[in-house]
Amino acid sequence: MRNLWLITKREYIGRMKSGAYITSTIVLMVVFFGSTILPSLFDSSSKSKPLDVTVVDKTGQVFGPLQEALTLLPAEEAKRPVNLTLATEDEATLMPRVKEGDFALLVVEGSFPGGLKAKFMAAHLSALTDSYLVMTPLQNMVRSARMQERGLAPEVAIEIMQPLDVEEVQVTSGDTERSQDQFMGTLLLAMSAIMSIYMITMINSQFVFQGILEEKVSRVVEVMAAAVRPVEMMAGKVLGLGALGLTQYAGMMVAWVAGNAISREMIDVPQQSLSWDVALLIMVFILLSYVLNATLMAALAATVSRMEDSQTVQTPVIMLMMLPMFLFTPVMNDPNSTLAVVLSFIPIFTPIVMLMRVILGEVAAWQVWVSVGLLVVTTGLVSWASGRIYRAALLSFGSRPTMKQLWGYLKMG
Amino acid sequence: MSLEVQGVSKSFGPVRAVQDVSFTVPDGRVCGLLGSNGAGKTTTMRMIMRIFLPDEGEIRWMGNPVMDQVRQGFGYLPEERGLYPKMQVREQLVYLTQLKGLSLEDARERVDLWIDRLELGEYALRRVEQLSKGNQQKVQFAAAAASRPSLCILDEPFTGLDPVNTLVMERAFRTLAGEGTTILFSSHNMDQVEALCDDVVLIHRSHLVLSGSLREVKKAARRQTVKLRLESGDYGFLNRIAGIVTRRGQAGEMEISVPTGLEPSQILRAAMDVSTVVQYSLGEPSLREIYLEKVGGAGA
Repeated sequence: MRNLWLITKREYIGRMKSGAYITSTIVLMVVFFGSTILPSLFDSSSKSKPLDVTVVDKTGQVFGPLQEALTLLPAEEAKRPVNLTLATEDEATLMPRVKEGDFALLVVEGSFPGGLKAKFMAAHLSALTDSYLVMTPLQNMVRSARMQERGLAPEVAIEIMQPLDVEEVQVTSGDTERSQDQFMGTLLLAMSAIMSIYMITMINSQFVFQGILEEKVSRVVEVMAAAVRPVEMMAGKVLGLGALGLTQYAGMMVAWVAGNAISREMIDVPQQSLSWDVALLIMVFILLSYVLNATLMAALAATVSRMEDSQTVQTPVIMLMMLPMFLFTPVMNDPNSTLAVVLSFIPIFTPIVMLMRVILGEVAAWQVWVSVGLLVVTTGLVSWASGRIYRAALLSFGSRPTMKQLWGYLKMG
Repeated sequence: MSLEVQGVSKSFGPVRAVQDVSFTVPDGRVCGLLGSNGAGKTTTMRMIMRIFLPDEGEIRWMGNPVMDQVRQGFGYLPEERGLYPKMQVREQLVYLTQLKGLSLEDARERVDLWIDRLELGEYALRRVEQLSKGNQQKVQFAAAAASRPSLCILDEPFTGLDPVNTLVMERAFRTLAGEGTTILFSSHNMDQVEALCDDVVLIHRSHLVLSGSLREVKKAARRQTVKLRLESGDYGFLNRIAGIVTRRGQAGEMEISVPTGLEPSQILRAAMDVSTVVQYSLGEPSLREIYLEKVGGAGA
């Protein structure tokens, strides 16, 4: 146990001090912080500025009523003030300034209201995104005028134009209901959970592979094999580098949460709060998924002795890890379909598929327990087999192994 | 009480690396493990260190089978040198010594002592990859010696060293032996083995050829060596005497292995017939001669 602790500590602290690790952690933290804070910075800078729109009104009938209609836009939809100006020059003269981004241009022509044509032009994407602030009142105004032309009283026309109160709700077997907005929040939560499992598993397993290969390339492996048991060497690497990856991940999460706290208004969909049982399940899956893949990578790393062989050996395992990502859409569409249920019981897919089913739909508790149980047994078996291969292959130097050799190592170890 | 290797065999697939090898190294002695390349020396050493487990036979230390707990007390310098390249010399030595069961304070004290003995002081805070090969080898030796081992297995510890570093290492080697550590080491330099060893074990083509104390081995050879120097420097007459093996000695004299059945005085008489004899002496065979005789010149 003492040696296991010494190895774990060396792996953790040794790499923690390396320039590559510090740099990658800082870069990742900046990326995560920036990815949350930057859009909201742009957003808030464009929000505070009013949208300047110059109107070329070739009909001579639109500008006045449009100004009036703008004031009728409900406050919750009017996210940015709009300055409407009537153009005194023609479209061609104004165009260079539109291209410069000085203002957006709205050209209305044809006969009002029956044959009206409108064109909104702007240089900036933010102005185009916000064009609805002008175009929706314009449409409402034109429709209302058309109705009045057919003899409807203005107040009746306005009443007809009132939007419907529509709600889309996901029902579950419990008392809870999820609105579409909430469903988006849940989906975001599911994706974050899955990305967490992926990042921790993939990045850290790579660390384990690299670490063991480095020991083989530098031949320090024989000194270690003469001092400690192979299982301690492997477990120390898996634990130390796992903790290292978790530290990096925690750093990214701190940056992400800090970024989000600063720009809280950025995400319009309600943040779905994480229940304790789901949070626990995510932790269990992260842990098991990491141990499963890391021990497999450790065994494979022990069988190669040259850096150039590492890609060939790792690719099949990485492909296998990637596979559940392609199942995201079918499982999301129907978390209780036969495909989703079957996949959630196959241990290598369990962390991703079962987690998606639990977050997005309703899963009977026994199914979760059985899938976790199967994953625990598989992880145990893979760790045991990896330990044997690791022990037998540790001092093999030469060409990369064939399947037959791997089987031989498994029997020998 | 000692290291006992009893009937040990090891195969790798169809290759039989070691076959039924048995020998004993008494406690506190220095034993040279000799053999040509591929004879099975490294595999034998790796089995003693439990890196490989023997297919057959048993290895005991002080009467107990060598298990992980027993192995904690062994030091090891592998033939394939290897250290963590990015780690500092002192930090690395302390880590490897701690893995042998020493406390942090104890490990630091022992490591500093060996850094001093091996004249590595100025490199203690450098990363291993910044050191020359010779200095890396001295660090590797310190890693084997610092844990105060009761048994130290050194696989070709002097290979690749320049003359100055060889002297430093030989001195450190003698210090380690002087502290009571039992040492089993391999080398191809017969003169060095003869100078450093109490006992020898010779393995050839996976089999044990001889083992015992240097004195016993030389006695058992029952052959004699004549050292001869002639004024004329013409030793052509020796070609006419059947069965003798000659070798030019370090001081220009001729070393002649006398085959059984031939009287050394016959060589002296023949020499006096052709020239004035400047030097004539009779001695035991050197380890190198015994080695060549047992292994055969071609296989060495």
